[in-house]
Amino acid sequence: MDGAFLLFSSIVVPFFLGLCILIFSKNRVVLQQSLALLGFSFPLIVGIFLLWSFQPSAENGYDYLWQFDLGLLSVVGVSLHLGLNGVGLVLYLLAAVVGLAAGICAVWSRAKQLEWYLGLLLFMQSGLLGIFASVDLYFLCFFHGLALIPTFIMVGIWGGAGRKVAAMEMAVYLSVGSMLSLVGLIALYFEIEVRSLDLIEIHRHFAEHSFRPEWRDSFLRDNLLALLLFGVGILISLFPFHSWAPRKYAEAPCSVAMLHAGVYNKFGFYLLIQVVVPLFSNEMADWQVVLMGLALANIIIIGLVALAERDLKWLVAYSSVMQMGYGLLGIASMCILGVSGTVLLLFGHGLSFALLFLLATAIHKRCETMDFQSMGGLIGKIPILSTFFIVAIFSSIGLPGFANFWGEMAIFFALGEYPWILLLALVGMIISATYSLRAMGAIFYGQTNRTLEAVLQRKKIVDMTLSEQAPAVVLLIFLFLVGVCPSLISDPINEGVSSLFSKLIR
Amino acid sequence: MNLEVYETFTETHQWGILWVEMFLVGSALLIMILQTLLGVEMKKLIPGFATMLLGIITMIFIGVMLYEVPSGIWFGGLIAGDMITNGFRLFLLLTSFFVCLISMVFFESRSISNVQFYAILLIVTACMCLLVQSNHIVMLFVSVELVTIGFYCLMNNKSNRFFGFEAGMKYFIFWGISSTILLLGIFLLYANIGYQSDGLDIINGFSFSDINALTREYSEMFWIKAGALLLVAGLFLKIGLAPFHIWLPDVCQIAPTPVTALIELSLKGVGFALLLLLFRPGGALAALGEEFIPIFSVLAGLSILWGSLSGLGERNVKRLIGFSGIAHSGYLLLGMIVYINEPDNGFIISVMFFYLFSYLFASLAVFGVMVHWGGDNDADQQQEHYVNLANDNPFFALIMLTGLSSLAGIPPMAGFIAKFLLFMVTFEAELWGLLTVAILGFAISSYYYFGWIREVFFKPSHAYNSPKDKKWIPARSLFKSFWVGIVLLLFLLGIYQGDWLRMFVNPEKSMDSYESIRGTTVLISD
Repeated sequence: MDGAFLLFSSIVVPFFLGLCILIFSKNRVVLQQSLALLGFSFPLIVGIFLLWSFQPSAENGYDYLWQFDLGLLSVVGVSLHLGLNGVGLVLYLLAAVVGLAAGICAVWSRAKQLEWYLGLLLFMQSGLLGIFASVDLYFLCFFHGLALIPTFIMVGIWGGAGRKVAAMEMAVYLSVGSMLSLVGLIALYFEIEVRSLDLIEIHRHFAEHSFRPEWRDSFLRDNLLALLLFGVGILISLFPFHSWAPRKYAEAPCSVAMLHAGVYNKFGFYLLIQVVVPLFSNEMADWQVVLMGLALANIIIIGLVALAERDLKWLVAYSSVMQMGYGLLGIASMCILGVSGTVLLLFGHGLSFALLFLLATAIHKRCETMDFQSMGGLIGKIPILSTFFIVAIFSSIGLPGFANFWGEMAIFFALGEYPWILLLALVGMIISATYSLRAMGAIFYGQTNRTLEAVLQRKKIVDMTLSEQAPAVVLLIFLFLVGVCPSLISDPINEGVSSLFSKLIR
Repeated sequence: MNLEVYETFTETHQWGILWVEMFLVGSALLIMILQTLLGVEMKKLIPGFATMLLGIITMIFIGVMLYEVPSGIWFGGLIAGDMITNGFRLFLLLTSFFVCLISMVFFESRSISNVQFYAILLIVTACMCLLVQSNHIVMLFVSVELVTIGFYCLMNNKSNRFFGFEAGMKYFIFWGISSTILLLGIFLLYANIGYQSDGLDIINGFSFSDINALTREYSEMFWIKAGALLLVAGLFLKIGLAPFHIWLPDVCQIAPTPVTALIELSLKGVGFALLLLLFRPGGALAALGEEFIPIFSVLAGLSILWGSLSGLGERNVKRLIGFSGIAHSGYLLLGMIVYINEPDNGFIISVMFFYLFSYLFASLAVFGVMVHWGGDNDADQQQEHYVNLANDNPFFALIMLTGLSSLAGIPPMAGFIAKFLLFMVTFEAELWGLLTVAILGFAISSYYYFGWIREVFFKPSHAYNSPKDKKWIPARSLFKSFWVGIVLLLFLLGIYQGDWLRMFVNPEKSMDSYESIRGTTVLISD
């Protein structure tokens, strides 16, 4: 089968299955569940097939290109242009894997109004897949918005106690961030003489002018990067604009938190890696210090906040935000090794934090509390869940054997030129190890808290059910596979990044 | 005047051009006759009949527009037609059709037999269609006044007697003031034509082309500038742009919901049609366009910010819709400024049309839910009344979601691409300050749109008792099918634009017609 067509259908199929669930399967739970499972597993199958048959063209590093004019091509140079390069492929695969895990989790979640939950989650999934598959920058923002509305509604309906605030905050931050980025991209469109938002065209134009193309307006050339970084900074929850992210992750229902922390917040990084850094490689040198400083602030300050956190889900949320700082450090190092390491880290981060959110919700269901000071000794009561959780924590702080390890290692190597920053980043590692291990100790070892004991006896606690094990296993398989054999995805990443940065100075 | 001129006058009296307006007025008369003849039971069919007539004429009009658009100037310079005016006619017809549908639901649920409403609605529509085609100041003023009186009658409705009266009064006073200002502007222009006409071949001081010649020649004269300014100020008062907006939210709140929809939508269409007609090349005030840009810029920025900021704390949804309308007028005026900057760029007109139509469909989706869900006290629709709508009626919740997210400009709805294109043309015209304000307005207003979606979808955090008096009207299948169509259209326009962006305004075609308008004018003045 044609890879390009498969790519297109993997975006459309979840959307239409979601519509089918909403329209045709009222009160027929089995039908809803099977349709949803189909919708979530199809992209993963396609993703694995695409990874297997990936042969990027030597010219632009893309494969599976597919273009369709929706009426804007002749007037503003925008068309639905799908395709994957190495970076896009890996993140697309991430979206497919986390999507399946979140889908399985949602299918058996016993949520009220299940058809709405599944339908909206499928819409979100198709938006997320579309983000990483679109070559055209307009559709990048389009798919981002497609995922935004379902996310907003799902947080608001099925979220925790503070869901209203969390949902509003997220919606406003994300729509402003994406609109700012979009305006930056429009500026790019008008200032250089390509008159197209097609990424391949823009890259070609920049390459032809050896990355110093003519600008209409020199003020914009000097300041556009600032606008783009501002928009992207909001999207990736960079330090001063991070406050929406932990609250949203903590209040969101399990599947949404998995998809958002795992996949959705990679959108900003995707923009950085595909657009901002390659095109502005000359100007980025001025911003390097600022970006590194902000990334370190992300790591150290949010790390310290996480250290003080007593609530398990908030802890996971803060540590998720904090770990993204390493990704930004990799990008700010401005070399191929660092950027590749960031992509690897994004893959590992997405999987491991999806896993952590899944397991934290499972623990919450059993203990009826999130305060890990009042837990303890759980490893004797629920051994399987505890083991999974400990493994997930190890993977998230970057122990060898998991995907995150390779990403962090590559980033640290890339930072070799900046010993002080490397040192501070390593301090961050110590902070994250401290709070993770402390939480682990408080939750799983030691004496069980009295009130918790009572709760556990009253609820006749059971260990992990099959419906919780299945998504965890899916995520762990990919974490292990990449951890043991990173070349599975590091080869396409390498090709993608080196074709993007072929003209980079270093 | 000689015989040749009279011949031209008679030749240009082509009544066929006004077939839409004649059909509408004819239907209105028919309805009035039927009202006196029919019995009580049969009268209940009249609303459906009026809606059907409007639907039929809209369909025929679309068909004719797809086939051929007549362009030229008729009735001795009173009426001008081309792609742009016909686009606005289509907009007004569609608006009235959907308003008819909404008001069927609204009046039936309140068991008010209100046949005159439909007759007046048809006549008002005809007047507005004439208004957007006017090429002559007297024509413009007469149709504006006809529309005013029609709206006043629509507002003073039986449905909520006390409030309706208040809305009508407020509206009447403000329209009176705006008409006075408009008249003063017209007077100044006309007086100067009489005074300065040496060297200009002017036969008739009221036609747009003569005023165009005057303003081109004497654009520096203070009294001409003042006249133009007063004319535009009068128009802005009627559209409700900040700082002339104070009447709009009040009237929106108090008028019956269908009339609110009519004011919100068709007034915008009419206002921007007139601005376009006045400021496009060959229009009456084209030569003063450059001088108006600073004023327009301030007004557009003010409207966007005012509409967005005042909506933030608003709980009454009808007022909220009013504030959102002010912000949207600001965005449209932004398009107008870009157009004045680059009058040769027909694409900007397409963008404005796209914006207007996507705004129409999005607002209709919201209004459609509001008439069903409004409850007994129409003027008092709070956001709290929409709590748990998603649970009680998922169909309405989905329509609401589509409409609101399109109004906010979130993909994949049509509103997003409209804003995207608008930002794009603004950027191209290098209006940085206004672009910043527009983005700021987008960010602020997204808060209240999302706030409304929140009320519709999120489960209430405290034990929520739905108010006892709150009863909603079950939707009919006819209504449902139309609103499903609107939602699909919003999706479709957001994803696939096809030739939509070239459908209403073909740059070459509009330029042709503009040439022909001037040609005819020259012929008459000979």
